[in-house]
Amino acid sequence: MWESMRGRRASLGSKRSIWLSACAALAACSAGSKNSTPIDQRVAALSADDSSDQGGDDRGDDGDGRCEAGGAVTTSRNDNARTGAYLCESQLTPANVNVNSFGLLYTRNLDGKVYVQPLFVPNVKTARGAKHDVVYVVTEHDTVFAFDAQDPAASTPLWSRTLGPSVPSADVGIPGRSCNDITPEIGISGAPTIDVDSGTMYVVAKVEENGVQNHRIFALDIRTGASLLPPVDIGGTYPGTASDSVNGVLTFDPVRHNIRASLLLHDGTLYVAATSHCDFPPWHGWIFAYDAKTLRQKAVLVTTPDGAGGGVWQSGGGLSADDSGVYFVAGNGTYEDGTVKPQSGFGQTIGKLQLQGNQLNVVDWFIPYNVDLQNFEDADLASPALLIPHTNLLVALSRGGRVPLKQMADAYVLPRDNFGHFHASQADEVAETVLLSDPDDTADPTNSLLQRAYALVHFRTEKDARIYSWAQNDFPRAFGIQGTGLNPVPVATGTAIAKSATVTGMISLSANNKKNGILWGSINVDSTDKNTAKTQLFAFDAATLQTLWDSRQNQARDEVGTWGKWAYPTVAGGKVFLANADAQLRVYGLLH
Amino acid sequence: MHPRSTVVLGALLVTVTGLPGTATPAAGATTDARIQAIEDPSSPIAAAKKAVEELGDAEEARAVPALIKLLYEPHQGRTLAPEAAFALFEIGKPSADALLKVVQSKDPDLQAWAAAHHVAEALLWTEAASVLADLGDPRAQAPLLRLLRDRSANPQLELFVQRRVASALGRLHSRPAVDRLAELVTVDDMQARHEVERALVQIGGRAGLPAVERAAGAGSWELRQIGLDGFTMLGGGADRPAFQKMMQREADIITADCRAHPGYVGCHDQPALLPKMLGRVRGFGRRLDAAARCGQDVPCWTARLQDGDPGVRERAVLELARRATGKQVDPLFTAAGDPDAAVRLAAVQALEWLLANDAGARAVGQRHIPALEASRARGQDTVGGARFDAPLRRILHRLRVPRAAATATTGRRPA
Repeated sequence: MWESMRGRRASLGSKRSIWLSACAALAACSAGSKNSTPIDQRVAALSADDSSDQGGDDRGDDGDGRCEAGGAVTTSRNDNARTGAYLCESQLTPANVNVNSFGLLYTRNLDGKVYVQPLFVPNVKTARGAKHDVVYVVTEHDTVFAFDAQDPAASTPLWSRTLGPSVPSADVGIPGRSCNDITPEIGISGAPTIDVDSGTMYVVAKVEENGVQNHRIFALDIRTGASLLPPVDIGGTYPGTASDSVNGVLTFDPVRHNIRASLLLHDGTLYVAATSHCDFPPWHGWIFAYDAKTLRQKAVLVTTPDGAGGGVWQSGGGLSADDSGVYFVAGNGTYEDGTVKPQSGFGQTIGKLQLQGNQLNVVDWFIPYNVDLQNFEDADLASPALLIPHTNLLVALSRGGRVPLKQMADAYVLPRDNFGHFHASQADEVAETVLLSDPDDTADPTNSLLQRAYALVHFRTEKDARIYSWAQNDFPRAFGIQGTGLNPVPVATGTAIAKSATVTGMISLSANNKKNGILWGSINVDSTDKNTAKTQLFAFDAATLQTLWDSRQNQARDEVGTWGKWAYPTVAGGKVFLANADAQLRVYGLLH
Repeated sequence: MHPRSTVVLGALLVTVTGLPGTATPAAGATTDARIQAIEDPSSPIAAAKKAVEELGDAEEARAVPALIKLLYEPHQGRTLAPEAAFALFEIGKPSADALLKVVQSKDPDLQAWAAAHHVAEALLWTEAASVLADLGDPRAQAPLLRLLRDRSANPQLELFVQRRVASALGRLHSRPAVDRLAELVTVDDMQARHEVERALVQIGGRAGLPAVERAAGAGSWELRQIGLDGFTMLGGGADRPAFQKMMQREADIITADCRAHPGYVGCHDQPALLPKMLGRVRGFGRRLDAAARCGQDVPCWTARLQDGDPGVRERAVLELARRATGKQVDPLFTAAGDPDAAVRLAAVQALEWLLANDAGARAVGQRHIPALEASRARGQDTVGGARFDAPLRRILHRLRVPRAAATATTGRRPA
């Protein structure tokens, strides 16, 4: 499989392949050359090792509905377009995913809660020389686990590494206020990203040592967990006049900030984005760019340097990227208001960044016409921007929520080359808005006002291209991509309601290229308290959204456990990996 | 000028300038085409928007039902609700008459349409309430107060209605609503508490003060802060000791929290923590100092519009909205350009109220028309400008079209 993929990648001419070719021709960046980095050396060493050649750093769904990246899931939401789709699944089909043939295979014990999607790399040659399909899962106890994904008996991790003492949740609290967002400890809250060319996992751990907190970037060998580069503590300054600035300079405060967005590896640069813990002021959206080979900081951007807020949350996903830039979605906060200098406020903004020299510049942006209402109602722009493959479009979600949704559509569809900035009238906006959550009031005729979609998935079948959502108190739904937007009339609607008072509807998709699509979704059940609610996992036929299987059909066998916010299911290699808040990784698959 | 004189003047002006909607046959055909443009879901959004604006400018009463539906139903996926709200405002009394039926659930045609279009009845009420507040129509007070008392089986809907209706009653300076608003101001929902507190502050007077004081001690820090803000916007010099007690209570809470959770940010250095955390709200006390100095003295409050503290300037705007008449309104037009957004918002809302109820204020305002227009132009398509655009448009309309004040038929200034 790797041989064939290497051939195809070469023909595609990925940037990484070109770079490797140049290295080989010039012999200037081979292992041991005086300017090479440990990551360079790893690439050079692994380039001769077929076990390591598993795709470039912009891996995943190429938008053509084809299996890419050799079946690896190297970043949250599967790829840098954040499609949430795994297209290399040859074992799981709508025909065989049912309660008789599909269920829980095994459980792996972890050391803390999991708030992120597991990652998966097939055919990793470990230190002992054996090859394994490896699932990687990270915990709030600051530990990275690497498990064999296929052998039910292999309960001992291939390796695990605790990256430092995690931070007790109370240590980010402030007097007079409380926060139970991530408890009882805060460690790794954003999904890592993996560069399989160099066999490197990049991961950020929040650590507390001697009362001092930091967010620390690690570059780990995916085979062993060993550090390939010295860890780097995230820090930075930015010009600004916000209340927490000193003499016109803002300094990143690791205590106040929460790195919840998944990491983005794009074009040789590692992007890390930060938001707040429970909106404890003062906070800002911070975006850092690091050279992936050295972890040298390249650039910093603050979304609200003269104001407050604008956190980069991304709902368990990360920044998105294509050849023309990097896309961020910032939550509520201050924004350009015509009285301050340009580019001084990008709260509640969908923005496009370009790394130009040592600067991250916002080259385009969109602020909704009703941004004041959204800010007031805490209707954050919070999801990652899903770059719809084979189109020039992106789609991002607003947490509609607290007002009847006729007044606050929850999805924005934007052309990636013209966001249109701000217009006082929605009639003049470039953005198309679509109501994805219960558009016909069929799921919730009482209009509970708690219908928020948090996640999107893209899938291109042989017949059509679709976006899937599963909002609070709504059915799973599929919307057709049509012309320059989404058709607001669903092309398919399921029958399972995600009855919930909190974040829910964590969806992912598996398919074999354009066939055998299955939408997987986890929701919270049994309690309105997110910290005690249980998880129910569903499989839907992606064509019809009819339920194929759910974990309560045979609860004694298939129960998931306590709800893990943002713990999206990862599907790969015939397995479904779903972490819970009981410090466990559940692994589902075909039973026979 | 007494508000009743406004009614008379407004009625006279309507007579002189012609009744809204008295159109020639050709104009009637144009009106039909415009209504068609907003009712036909296939008409382009730009055409529909233009039609809405033209129907408003023409004060076309026949368009009211179609415009009301636009408050709720997007056109081709985009809302024209702000444009429709302004058109309804321009049309004036016919809009108010229709919207009153909506908030009283006495428009069966609209209710049937809403059911067919999946529009919650709560939304019917709230958006109509907002436009009635734009219109400054005091007839809305009783039905809106009934809505504020309504209980719903759906707590989220109930809170939504409370937020929007409280805001409308505040903008209407509705004294009869104070008791119910006072009951609601300790609500645990942050946005609802904020709207209820703002309504009490806009209405003014001491009747709501005990409830706001309770709110300053109830709930989380974010919620208590809303109460502290309201207390210092309503209270007087005699309330300063009570405010000091509130500050001490906040300090005690922080100290106790630090004792229970030594790891909380800043707890390692409490002497530095307390001023840092409480500094801003302690500053609220300057509003009470101003109230002690000014009492009900309009010139004194006018001087406070130059205060360095935005909170004091906002309090001054609120006091002037309650007390200023005729030429005394003049400084509020300047305050509408205050660098602080909260002060500006208070000022434009105060001007809306005053211009709807005081012909003298409208006369004073004439000379500010160029500056208000320039302010609108500067803010075009900026977020900050958009925030104030709708009230500025309404202010300009009231200044240019005196009969627009006639919708405020029996408005009363609180004493």
